[in-house]
Amino acid sequence: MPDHRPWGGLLWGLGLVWLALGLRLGLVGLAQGLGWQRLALGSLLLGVALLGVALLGVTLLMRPEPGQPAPQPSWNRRSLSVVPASLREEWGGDLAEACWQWHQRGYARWSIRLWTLSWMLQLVETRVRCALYAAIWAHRWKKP
Amino acid sequence: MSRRGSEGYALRLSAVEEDILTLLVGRELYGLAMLEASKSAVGGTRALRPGSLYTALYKMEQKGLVRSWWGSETPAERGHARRRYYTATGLGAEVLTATQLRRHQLAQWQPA
Repeated sequence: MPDHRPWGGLLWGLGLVWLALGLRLGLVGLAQGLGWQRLALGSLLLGVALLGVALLGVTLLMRPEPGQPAPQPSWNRRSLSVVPASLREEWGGDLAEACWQWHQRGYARWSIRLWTLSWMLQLVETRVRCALYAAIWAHRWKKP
Repeated sequence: MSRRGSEGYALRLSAVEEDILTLLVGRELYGLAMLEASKSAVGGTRALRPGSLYTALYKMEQKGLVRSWWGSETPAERGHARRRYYTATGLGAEVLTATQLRRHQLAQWQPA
C-alpha cells in the first residue's frame, strides 16, 4: 500500500498555517480596522477545509489491510510537513496526561480548558512559524 | 552533520536546546516530564514551553543530538497513547560540554 502520510501531513500543516493566518489577519483587522475581514474569513475557511481533507484522507487512506499491522512512521526521515501527523500521538498523549494531572490536582474545569487552549495555540503558533520559515527562508534565501 | 575538528563543534545550541540537553544527559524523559522537570527546576516563567519543546526536540533529533523511541506502556490517563522517550546522544553530550566550556572560558576572560 503506498504511503500517503506525507500528503496528509502536508495538508495538515497547510491547514494549520492558513488557520493561524486567518486568525492573525482577523485579529489585526479587528484591532486596526483595516478591512481584512473577508481575507481573514477566507483563510479560516481554507484552513478548516484543508484540515478536514487531511483528516478524512489520512483516516481513509491509512487504514491497514485486514490482517496487516498498521504502518509505523519512519522517524528518521520525517520532514517538517510530516511532523503533525507523526506527533499526534505524542502531543495528544502528553496533553491528555497533563489534563488528567490538572484534574487530579483539583483545578477547575474552565482553567483546564484554558490551559489546553494555551497549549494548542503554542503548538500551532510554533508549527506555523517553522512551516513559514521552511517554506520561505530555507528555500529562497541564499547566503551571499 | 558538520564538525570543526576536535576542539569545537560547528553545532551551536540555542537556549532551549541547551536546556533540553541539560535535562536529557543521563536521563530518559518524555515531553510532559521534561516540561514538568523544567518548571520544577527553574520556575514557571523561565520553564520550557510546549510549543518550543516539541519543535526543538524534532530539530535536535535531526541533528543527532538526541534520540527517541516509543515506550511500551499505554496508560489510561493518556488516552492509551504511548509515551515518546528522549535521551541525549553522545554527540549531544559532547556539544553541551563544549558549549558550557565556551561559556566558562568567556566568563574567565580578563582584559590584558
